Amino acid sequence: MKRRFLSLLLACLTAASLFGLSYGLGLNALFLREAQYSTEAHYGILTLLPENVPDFNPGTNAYWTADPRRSLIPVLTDDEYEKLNKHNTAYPIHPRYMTLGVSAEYFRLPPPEGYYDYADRLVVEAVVQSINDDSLQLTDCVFLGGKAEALQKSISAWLSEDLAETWSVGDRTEFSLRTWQENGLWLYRVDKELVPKGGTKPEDVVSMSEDNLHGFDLVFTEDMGWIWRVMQGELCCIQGRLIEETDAGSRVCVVSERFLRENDLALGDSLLFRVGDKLCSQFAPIGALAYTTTQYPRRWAEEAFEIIGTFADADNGNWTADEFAYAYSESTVFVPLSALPETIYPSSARYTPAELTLLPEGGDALERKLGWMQEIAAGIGLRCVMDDRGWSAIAAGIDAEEARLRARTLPFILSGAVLLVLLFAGLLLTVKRKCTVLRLAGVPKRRLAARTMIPSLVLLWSAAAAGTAGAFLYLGTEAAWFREKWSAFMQVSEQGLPMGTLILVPGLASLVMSGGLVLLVLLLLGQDIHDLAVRSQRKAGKQ
Amino acid sequence: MNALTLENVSYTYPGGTSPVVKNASFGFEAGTIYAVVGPSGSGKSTLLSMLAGLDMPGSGDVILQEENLKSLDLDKYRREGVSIIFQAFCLLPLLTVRENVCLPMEMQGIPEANARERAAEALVKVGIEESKHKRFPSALSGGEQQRVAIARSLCSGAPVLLADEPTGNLDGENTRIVMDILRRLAHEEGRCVIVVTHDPEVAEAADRVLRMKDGVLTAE
Repeated sequence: MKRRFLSLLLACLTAASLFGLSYGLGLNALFLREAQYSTEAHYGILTLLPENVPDFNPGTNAYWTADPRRSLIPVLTDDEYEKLNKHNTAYPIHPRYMTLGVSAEYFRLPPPEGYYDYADRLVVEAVVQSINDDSLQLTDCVFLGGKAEALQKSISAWLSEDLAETWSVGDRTEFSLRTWQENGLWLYRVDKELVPKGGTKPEDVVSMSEDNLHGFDLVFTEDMGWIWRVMQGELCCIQGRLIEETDAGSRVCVVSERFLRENDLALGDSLLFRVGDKLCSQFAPIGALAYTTTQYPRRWAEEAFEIIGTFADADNGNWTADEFAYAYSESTVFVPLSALPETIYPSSARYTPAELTLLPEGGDALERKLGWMQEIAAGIGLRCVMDDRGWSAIAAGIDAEEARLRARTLPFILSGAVLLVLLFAGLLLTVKRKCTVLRLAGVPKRRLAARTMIPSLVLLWSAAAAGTAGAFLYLGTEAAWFREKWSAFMQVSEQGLPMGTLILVPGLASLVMSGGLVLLVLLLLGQDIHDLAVRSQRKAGKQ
Repeated sequence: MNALTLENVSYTYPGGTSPVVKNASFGFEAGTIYAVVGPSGSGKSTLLSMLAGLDMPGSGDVILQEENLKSLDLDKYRREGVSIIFQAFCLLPLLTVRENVCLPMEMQGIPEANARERAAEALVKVGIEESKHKRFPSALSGGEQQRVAIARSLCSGAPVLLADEPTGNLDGENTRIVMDILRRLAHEEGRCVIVVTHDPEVAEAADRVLRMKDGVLTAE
């Protein structure tokens, strides 16, 4: 009875020690795996900025005679884009696409004060009254389309030199005029859209002009958090929330707070757009407007988006030259990238650096990857800045938790290991003594081997199984609690328990012990019986 | 017929030049207790090893009743022919007194009930009262532990009982008790008991004393 009780006790202690080992190492493994997951899943946000931005004054003539988007931050050449994309596994590039969305119901908001409104165009039929080198006098103007309030009976419009000989006095024809106000007066400039020989049809220019007035900059993005101005805290969420990765597949949008307010809209309302297929570079005061035929979409898709949030740019109207290309107008509507119409082919798009976000992955590799990219970017006249998205705090949290866990599990591991070693040593001594006594008593080797090894191995493996099961169950009940705790400072996964460690540790320990036991018994069985007797006598202090 | 006979037995350790046991011849009779005495290194333990079948003689023969040791299965010889008692008792500390006595029998396939009955008898025979049968060896005195070791040897039913300094770790009182038991086993059960000892008191308790000196065995 006592022998059985002792065997049971021995099995329980072995199971307990293996439980301690397995649980301690298992918990550490669970944390290390989660920490690794968190490290690997963490990414930085890398933005490309131009080394030098030319001075730009919105009040100059150049501002409205040429497209400043091209002169300020040029689109990347294929070669430059290829260089940036060379290490796309280390820095996946995520472009944002801007296209025109025309609303039948709402008007585009006018730009901030002092900025030219590219949406303002007037299309008229008029008679040429006189022509000078730089101006054209029109009379009997009849409204065809565009900015209706800019219509006057007679209009004096600036004219570029190359157009001076296009018309003759007395001609009655359609004119496309860019228009703006200064000191309460409407000013005009002849647009090239309706110039004969190669010009656009009047009805098309009318249609484009109407679309301009109702045109919004639809920006397709995977996550607004990746936008440089959002990262800087300049573009903020005012109501609801911004577009996130999880919005993929949803028909939702984020509009400017001013647009929402001025149109008496609310979160949850829907906006219906005709979405054009033309991708445009972003430039805050211009947006995606189809103010030229080259920018005008060829195909349209109708989409409705539910408003989930609003934004505001803290510097709206006071952007510096290097902010123009990175800021968004109040007529911007952010939508998930997944909503990009099938008629748009992003592969053919040309990007400015402002539309690209690079996401270097692996928290612990961010600094290294930033260094690599800085080198590449410098080679093409760009610099890059990175937001590590709080990696240093996460890393500190991981280190601190690792130390805490070590302190918590060390007693389990150490006591388990020490107890196991002691038990194993005791088992070996017992088996050794038993084998000696029984060999001297003439018990046949085979029977002796079977009767000593089999029960010990059964005990050992049963204990290992019990210890493992105990550790598995205990850790299973704790894992959710730990994950919740860890989620306060790092990203956690939905992975299961670290079965490898939970099984491998007791398995290996049992294997080593079994091997040791079997080896010992085989050695004892193979040993000269005289030596065994002599050793046993030596223990009594006799030579 | 002798229980055990030595015929011109010599033994030289491997690599040794001179024999530690020289031409030993003697017939050990049943029902007699023998004491083999001699100084350290005289060869008495080597002689006992050969009698126990732990070592084979370099020359000469050890004969159990009529069978030469060379022709016997040594395991069987140690199981059924001789039984050995050591100075160190060689009890398993995690087994109770009774379990220690039963263990060799269980290993030989004797049913548990039979083994327990025989163990109880043997323990009573060596004066271990029943209340101590379920105790662990550590709870017993040295004398009692040696008696348990004797009981374990008895259970094999071997006609020859070999004891190597059985009282080496015991005080005078326990030495007397153990020697009384060994004498009883020889005289009442007809076993041949051979005790190797340094102790003159043990030698005095023997029926016959054999001396070993420089490997030579002489009977007094």
